[in-house]
Amino acid sequence: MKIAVCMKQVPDTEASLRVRKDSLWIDEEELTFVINESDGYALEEALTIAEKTGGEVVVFSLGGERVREALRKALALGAARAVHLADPAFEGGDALATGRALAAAIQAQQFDLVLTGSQSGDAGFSSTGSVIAGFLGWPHAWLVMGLEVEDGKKAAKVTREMESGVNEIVRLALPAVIEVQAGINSPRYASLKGIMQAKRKEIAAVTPADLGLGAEEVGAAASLLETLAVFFPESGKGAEIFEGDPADCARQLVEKLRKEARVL
Amino acid sequence: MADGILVVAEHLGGKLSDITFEMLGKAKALSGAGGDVTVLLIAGDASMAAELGAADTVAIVEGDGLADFNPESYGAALGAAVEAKSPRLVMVGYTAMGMDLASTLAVKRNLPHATFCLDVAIGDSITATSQCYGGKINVTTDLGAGPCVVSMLAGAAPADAGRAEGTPSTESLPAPASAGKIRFKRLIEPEAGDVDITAQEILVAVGRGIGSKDDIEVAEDLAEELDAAVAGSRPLIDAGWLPKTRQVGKSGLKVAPKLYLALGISGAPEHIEGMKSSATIVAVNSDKQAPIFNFAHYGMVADLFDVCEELTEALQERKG
Repeated sequence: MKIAVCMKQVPDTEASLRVRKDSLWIDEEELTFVINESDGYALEEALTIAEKTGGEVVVFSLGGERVREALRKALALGAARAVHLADPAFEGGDALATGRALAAAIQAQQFDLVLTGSQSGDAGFSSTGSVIAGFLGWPHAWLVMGLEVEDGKKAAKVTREMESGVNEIVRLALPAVIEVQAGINSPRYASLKGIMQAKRKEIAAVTPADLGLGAEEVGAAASLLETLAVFFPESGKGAEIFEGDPADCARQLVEKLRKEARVL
Repeated sequence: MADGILVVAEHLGGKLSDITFEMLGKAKALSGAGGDVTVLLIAGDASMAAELGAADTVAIVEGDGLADFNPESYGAALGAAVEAKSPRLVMVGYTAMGMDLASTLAVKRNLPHATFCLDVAIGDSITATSQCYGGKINVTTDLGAGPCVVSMLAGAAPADAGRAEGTPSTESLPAPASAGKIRFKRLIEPEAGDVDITAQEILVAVGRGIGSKDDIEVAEDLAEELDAAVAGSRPLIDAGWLPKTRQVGKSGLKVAPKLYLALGISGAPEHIEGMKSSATIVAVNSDKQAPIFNFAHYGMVADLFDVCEELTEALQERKG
């Protein structure tokens, strides 16, 4: 099977964030970027399926120069080649603009399956995969925790999460877009051999024009959402913070829990 | 209904979910300036419609293939309702079902869609405040004059406001045919665990900050001292460090103990949804930006191992 994996590079979850001077996004200088968690699981799922069924995995990512590092890592893990939606015009889009660009890049080649994460750790639109499916006219499943391609490769059996721990099993006709949840598998580590091989694999940079899209159809220009401001939520509303020596703090907390909250 | 608001109801096991009333209350407040509130009830019945007194209209869609959630058939039903009602704002829950429908609606009809919404306001244009970066940052966005879609976080608005008495008109909408590319097979109910974390008075919950499976032991020691059970956030369950039955959050269990100790849990919105009703919340995290501190009653910006040890000792001292 030929499988496309869409990945996003996001700031490390431990990153200390600062709001940019214009208050329109966070300051991305000095942040460490990593492959978005659930996208990493999507890549692992794709590699496993490709190993079982034959075929290849092609990874796609949209963003600036730094994104090539994530793509190179995916190549080291076993993807055959990568497509980098590299033009600055692609950036700053909402899920519709980003999904349109990715769908066009995917459509330029023939795929049986598209895998991506269910949500990103930064903007968290949680809908880029569903949008890609919409543009391709394919069925999709979100929050997927189990994926089994049926013999004949015409359909996939998917376990997707519903609310309160309930899961739903659905059967999707292929080609389809599957948005996986973190935890669906155990992602592998890159081998030294893989890292060496990745250096010779292709990362194709594409522009909107290469995909038959006008600059106004992608990125910030096409976004239907306009960011007015980003800000930190009110911090510690009513929370009493203990600081200093851990032993003192622990004793103070125990006293509070006993006398004030009366839970001990 | 070009000024109207369409709220997509959710129900589970024959009972309307809180998120439905939360959105309905918010929609009612937003519609004060004019415009009707319609609740779209897919595969619901008259008794559910009777509970939706705060709405002006309840539109019921019934049909084959709607008994269980299928993004295709439900998506077609929502699409048809939007076509019929031309609402200015469509409200769905940021839920397994709602988000799926919202994304599909947005791409099919090219509508602005804001997710993870804490609040929404209607003026000349519609604005929404959303959480991003796992709840560390909020963002306010302009969705234009409408039509548009917002997916509302559970608990963002009080449910009581949506539980008003009233006699909404009801109407039946046809279930449109769907492409048949997705077939529902069956539901899997969650398994019962050795310990029912929803029945505990005290929970010691651990998150990513614990670092390794072996280190959960420090939380277990503290839990023993407190006569509590150990629970965890999703990343720990994903890593296989704790069983699924110990997971607190949106895709796990919702808990409301007397005391909830969150150790090394950042407080992503999905986790908060599962524990925010706890009577007393204590957060320990080395990251002072961790959103969990916005929900905690007591907090310590510290290394969780130091705190666990000292707390265990302080509790022993008190007993001693």
